[in-house]
Amino acid sequence: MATWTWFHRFASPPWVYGFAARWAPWFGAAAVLAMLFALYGGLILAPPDYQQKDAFRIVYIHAPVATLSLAVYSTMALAAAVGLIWRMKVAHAVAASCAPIGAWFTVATLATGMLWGKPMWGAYWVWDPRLTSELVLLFLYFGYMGLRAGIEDPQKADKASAVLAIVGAVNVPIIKYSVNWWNSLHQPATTKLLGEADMDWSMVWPLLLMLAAFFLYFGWVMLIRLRAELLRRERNASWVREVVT
Amino acid sequence: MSEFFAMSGYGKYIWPAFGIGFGIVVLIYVMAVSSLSAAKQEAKRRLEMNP
Amino acid sequence: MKTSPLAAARLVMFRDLRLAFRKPSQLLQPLIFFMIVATLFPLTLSPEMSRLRDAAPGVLWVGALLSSLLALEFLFREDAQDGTLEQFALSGQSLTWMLFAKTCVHWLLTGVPLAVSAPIAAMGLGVPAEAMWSMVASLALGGFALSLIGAISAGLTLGARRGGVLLSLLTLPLAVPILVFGADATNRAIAGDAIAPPMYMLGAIAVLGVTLAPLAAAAAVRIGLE
Repeated sequence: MATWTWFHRFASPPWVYGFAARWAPWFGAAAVLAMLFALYGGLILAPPDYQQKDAFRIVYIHAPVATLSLAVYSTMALAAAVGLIWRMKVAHAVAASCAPIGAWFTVATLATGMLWGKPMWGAYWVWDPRLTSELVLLFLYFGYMGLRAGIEDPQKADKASAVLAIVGAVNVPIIKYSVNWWNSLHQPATTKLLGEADMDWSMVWPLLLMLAAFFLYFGWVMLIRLRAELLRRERNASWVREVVT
Repeated sequence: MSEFFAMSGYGKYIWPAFGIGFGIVVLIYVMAVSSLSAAKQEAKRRLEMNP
Repeated sequence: MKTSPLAAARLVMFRDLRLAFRKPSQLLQPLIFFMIVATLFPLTLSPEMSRLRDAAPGVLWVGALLSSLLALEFLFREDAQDGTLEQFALSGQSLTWMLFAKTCVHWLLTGVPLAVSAPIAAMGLGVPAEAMWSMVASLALGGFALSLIGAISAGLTLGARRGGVLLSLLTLPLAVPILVFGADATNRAIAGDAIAPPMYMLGAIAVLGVTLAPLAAAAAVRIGLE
């Protein structure tokens, strides 16, 4: 059955390596272009906000990195689950590749958030639910990477960290919905996925474009890391010989 | 132009925020590429040792 | 003849209790640790009762967490080292239930004594007498949730190098909600407010923990034993 063989390719490390090598540059080019356009739209074209004036422009860097910090963790947990259930080496490699990327995105979220919080709330940091759970997300990333590093056997490391990733996934909805569930200083979502935006369109499109750009960027860097990860894991395989020489 | 950099007084928050954000973006990319080239070199070395 | 999971769990529970009581000094260690931690804060912060009272919920809960982490190391280690855990996994009985039993023992031997003796430390931190019962209740419930979560990380770090540090690193992020709600409950108790809202949240976490944590712990232990 054609569809089944198509899916099966994703379990083959050499095929995935080739796929990643071929498609990564396209993701990269699209990401960079989109970022440039979005920056232009957000920093220059969009008018200042009525309340926040120009400070609102931080949304164009803060919202994408924050969304990605959650999206990368979700990808990592999903890949880990796939690896655990269907015993796919490639899935475990994907999960391992995602972790450092997601951790850095979380750092970026916290840093840009602090720089937005100071002018808006008067404080770099408050212990409100969303900020606290985002900090917890950073600790979860560290825990994941620490557990991987701490277990010698690569297969055990894959499986144990997969369990951890899945258990920690409970934090993702907490972060996302904390602003709805609790009285939080952090503002709720500016645009809803399918609803009408409260903001002017000229302010919204750069945000959407920047979000798309960052997702493309994630694809780009993840595919690069994935190749490195596959090379390391499959070091004794014959396909590695052909790729490297 | 200087108005653009001042950003109605918020410049000292906005520019560092974008700086850190995109700085990390560049950092992630650089780390990814260097990990890939290190993996390739490592693989090459091992193949040379065990032909 | 297949024993029911509950019966197997009960056997494990009594075995663990019996083993633990053979070394009573080891039972006291987490308690003593908790008392020392609780004493350190007045020594280092300020002897003023009003300021200590403000810090009391945090001190008590962080102390409880640290003591629980200390005791967690021993949850699986000895059984893993002498092969008992492997036998559990191979026995054909429900590993989930047996690990749940071990977790309950951990709570009975660490969480409960800690909760019951906390008033002594709390008095030194300026907590009023009216708040004591609520505080004990919240510490007991929170301690149960902590034991459950700790069992997962204890299982995950079974085969890892420097497992002790890693165990704490893994448990802490997952323990944050328990700390937040537990400290809130203690705060409210001191202020004389109703503690129902955070207690419900602690209860919800404990229920979620009971349903999912032993499963995750069993999966983790099986991975570690492979």
